[in-house]
Amino acid sequence: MAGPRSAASANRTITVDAGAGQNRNARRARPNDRPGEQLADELGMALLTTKLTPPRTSLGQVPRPRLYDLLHAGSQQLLTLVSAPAGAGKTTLLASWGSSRRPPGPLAWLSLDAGDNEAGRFWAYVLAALCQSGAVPSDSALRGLTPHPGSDAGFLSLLVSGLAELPTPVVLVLDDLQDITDASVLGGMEFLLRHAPPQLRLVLSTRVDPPLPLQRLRISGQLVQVRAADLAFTVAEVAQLLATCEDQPRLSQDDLALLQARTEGWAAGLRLAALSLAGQPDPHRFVTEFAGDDKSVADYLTGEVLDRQPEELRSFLLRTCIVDELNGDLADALTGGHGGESMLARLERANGFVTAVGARRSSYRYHRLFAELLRYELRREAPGQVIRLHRRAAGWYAARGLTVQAIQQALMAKEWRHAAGLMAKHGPSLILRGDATALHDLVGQLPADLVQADPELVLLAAADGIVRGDPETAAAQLLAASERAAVLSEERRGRFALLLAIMNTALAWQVGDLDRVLVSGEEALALQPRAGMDGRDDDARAIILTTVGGAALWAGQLDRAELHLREGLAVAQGAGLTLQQFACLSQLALVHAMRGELSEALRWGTNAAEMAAEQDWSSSVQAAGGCLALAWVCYYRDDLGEASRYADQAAVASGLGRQPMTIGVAILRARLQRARGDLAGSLNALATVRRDLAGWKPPRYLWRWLLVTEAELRSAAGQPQSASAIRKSLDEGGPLSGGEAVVLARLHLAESDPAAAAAMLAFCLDGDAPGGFLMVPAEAWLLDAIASDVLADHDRVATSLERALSLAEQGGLRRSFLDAGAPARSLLARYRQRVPTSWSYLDELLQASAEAAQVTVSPPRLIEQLTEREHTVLRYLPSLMTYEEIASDLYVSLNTVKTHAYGIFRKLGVTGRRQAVRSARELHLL
Amino acid sequence: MGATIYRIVVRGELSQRYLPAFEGMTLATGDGQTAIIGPVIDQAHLHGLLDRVGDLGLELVSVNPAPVPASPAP
Repeated sequence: MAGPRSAASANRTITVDAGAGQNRNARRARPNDRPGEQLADELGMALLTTKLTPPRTSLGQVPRPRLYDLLHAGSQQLLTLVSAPAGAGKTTLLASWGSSRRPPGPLAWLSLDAGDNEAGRFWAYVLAALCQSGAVPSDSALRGLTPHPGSDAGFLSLLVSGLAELPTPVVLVLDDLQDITDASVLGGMEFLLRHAPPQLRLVLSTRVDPPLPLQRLRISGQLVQVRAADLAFTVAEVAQLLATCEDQPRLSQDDLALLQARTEGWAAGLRLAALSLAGQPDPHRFVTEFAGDDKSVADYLTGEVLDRQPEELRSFLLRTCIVDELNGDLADALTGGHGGESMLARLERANGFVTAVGARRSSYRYHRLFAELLRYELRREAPGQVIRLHRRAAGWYAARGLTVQAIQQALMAKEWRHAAGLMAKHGPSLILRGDATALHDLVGQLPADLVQADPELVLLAAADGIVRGDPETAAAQLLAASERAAVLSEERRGRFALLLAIMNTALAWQVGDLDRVLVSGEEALALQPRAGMDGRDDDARAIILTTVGGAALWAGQLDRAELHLREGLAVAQGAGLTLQQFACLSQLALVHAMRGELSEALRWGTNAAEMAAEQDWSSSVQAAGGCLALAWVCYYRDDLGEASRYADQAAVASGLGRQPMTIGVAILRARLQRARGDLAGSLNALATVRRDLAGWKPPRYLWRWLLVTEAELRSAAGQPQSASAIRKSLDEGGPLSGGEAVVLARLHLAESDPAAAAAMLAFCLDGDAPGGFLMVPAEAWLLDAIASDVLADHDRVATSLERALSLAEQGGLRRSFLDAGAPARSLLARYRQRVPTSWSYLDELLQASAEAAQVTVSPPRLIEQLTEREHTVLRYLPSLMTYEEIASDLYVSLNTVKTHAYGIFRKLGVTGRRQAVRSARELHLL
Repeated sequence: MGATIYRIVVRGELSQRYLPAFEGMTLATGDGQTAIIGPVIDQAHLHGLLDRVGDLGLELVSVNPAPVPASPAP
């Protein structure tokens, strides 16, 4: 469920990459995209898949057996490092190795660029490359694995264990690794190198040696290096290379040697030389002049090459070099001409100016070095053109919905106003799609004073603060943005107000202020129909509805929650927003559970669980609500083992901290322990939560629910004074909810005050009380029957009991009858004849109640044997290490450690770490 | 700005074609080498220039802070 981690961040759990291939995972999950978007997505995807395919190199495809041997040796080991300067022919070598000789396993290819300096995005691409390679079976754990932004150790250990289960080796090529400078990405790489299973064969291609601990691998013989000297073309290879190019004159052996010596076998130089040699009437003279010149190789040859091209081609090259990747259409847009497509194809075929990239080979790239040289040439020759061309490129991308690229180009054109306008226009949808990180980088490229002055841009900066978990900064920015709203034009103000309301809602979630979520959320919902949101209306609406629905649920406003969540579900379904759909399902299950509608709760909860399994979302925040719902269902159906299993899942999924879910889980656990006869443990569970949440102001009804549960437990534990103190504090806190009234009725009955109990029950059964939590009607009617029995109102006993039984039978409820103990048993036995419709269920309950009465309470005992891994984790518990530290010490994920810890608690019948240590010592487990 | 004059020497003589790559610097060629000379404001600036040398496939010979850009030839 959408926890207090904002609505925006709820989205980010599935959203990985910004920039080129916006939002792949979310895309995967969107079957009914609108057609307009689909076009943009396909283009976006085309650009994306180019990163996952080795470039085709028709030119210079010289077989290089001596290097293949090196690579072959390297790929028997963990790591091959191909490290050499620009233009040394690294990429070409690796691409031709992959296609000419069989590497020891499928080849997973990833071309990196500076945009991949974000852990979530980087690892998402790595996963995509692996999955696309053919090495990953459809049932592998690697499929559906989703890195979070700022990827954590948990993800990396899952990645490692997924790799360890692969049936075959996989060769992962990371090209252009020099572009990766982000410390957390490099840290992750280091982790991968340290823990890589034998299946992984890593090939790193880079211009500069990476800051990774290679010495250890070198010493242990797990590293093979291919360096500049190895890559340099020999004379024989130079001859072969020239032979693959069109229009080449024959060179003498001496000239070949001279050429090799002058270029020092540098691949890029040789490629340029081949271009210059094409059609040369006197190749010997060309080689001799080249050899006798002192100019740098690239400089000399670029001049030669460009000067020799016909004007049309020269101008095409200079105008299209400003983008990293282009297709015919974009080329036409840049040149203002026609036939870009065939020109690119010709350039590729004839002389290798460009390389076709991507699965469909419809995009082209200039060799990086050549592109650089062309760009400098353009700036020298026609500096005025540069900005114009970037502007055209921006327009082309914008028209195709490739917002991030459009903004990038506008920034390169130094068109700040235009870039800012694009960001303001498309930023909101980028955020809704989880691309806040990309946006942050783009906003950062604008001059700071421009951002400060523009409320729309400040708002975008605030969104980034929320996603990054920096609520203080975000709050300050939201305030600043709203103060400057007046500078906006009339037509923009509506949209701005909506966005501001959405951001305020998200921020309120993040800091756990549900009242403010409800206020800002309703504000956003009210504003929405009037503010056009760039074709993303549904996304925005679904997210707000999910968030507001969740807030209403925890505020105890179950009907309002159901209304919002059902609408949210419909909108999310219609828009194909799978994660929002899941969040709604999960929370709807909890709404029903909280009303004691066990069958409905089970149905929604099962739906949510199926979806979680399908999408691998079982440990996502959104899953927690569904798990808690199923836990309550199991509790009331008296399957305590399953109930605690679901409670553990809910706890793991929701994470820690100040959030309603923590209270919800704690109350359930307290009731579970009570049902098992461990009253002390049960009280301890609640006290711990109360202590942990000190200083936080949780939703009022939820807090009261916690208190009233504690009051009941204290009274049962023979602490009537603390119980009445708590009740007194409740009386002062405003009106009762139905759920509280049921607990209080139970309490009055236990204190032999049937009249007070009956009054409480009348209050909640009349239906006027605000619902609150767990107003389970069957339970209320049962208590009413018991109270009436003591009050000797026999007719009322019969009717109430009949209602209780028929409702209980419908929902499969048993627990309330067991909790009520001897009075319920006696009642069922005496009234059996008067409730003829429910005999069989009544008999079942009688039997269960009699069995439960035999249960005796015993001090520390092991409910179930610990598994080996639980033992391992148990040994860490007495230490001062945090779960995170334990996880990293064991090389497992944080969630795994938590699951084991909760498993240990459950099996020891305790609620916390310290208690677990004490019990484990008493049981000689430690 | 406390800029320091730097002298970055690369192998090969560069034509003025490369001037836009090293904005604000002058190129002095001779003896099969080029000295890229000019004010460098800080380390980030210097690394940026060196990256460009790498991007262009140029071979770096030396990098030195120079008190004054004296004679153009190295």
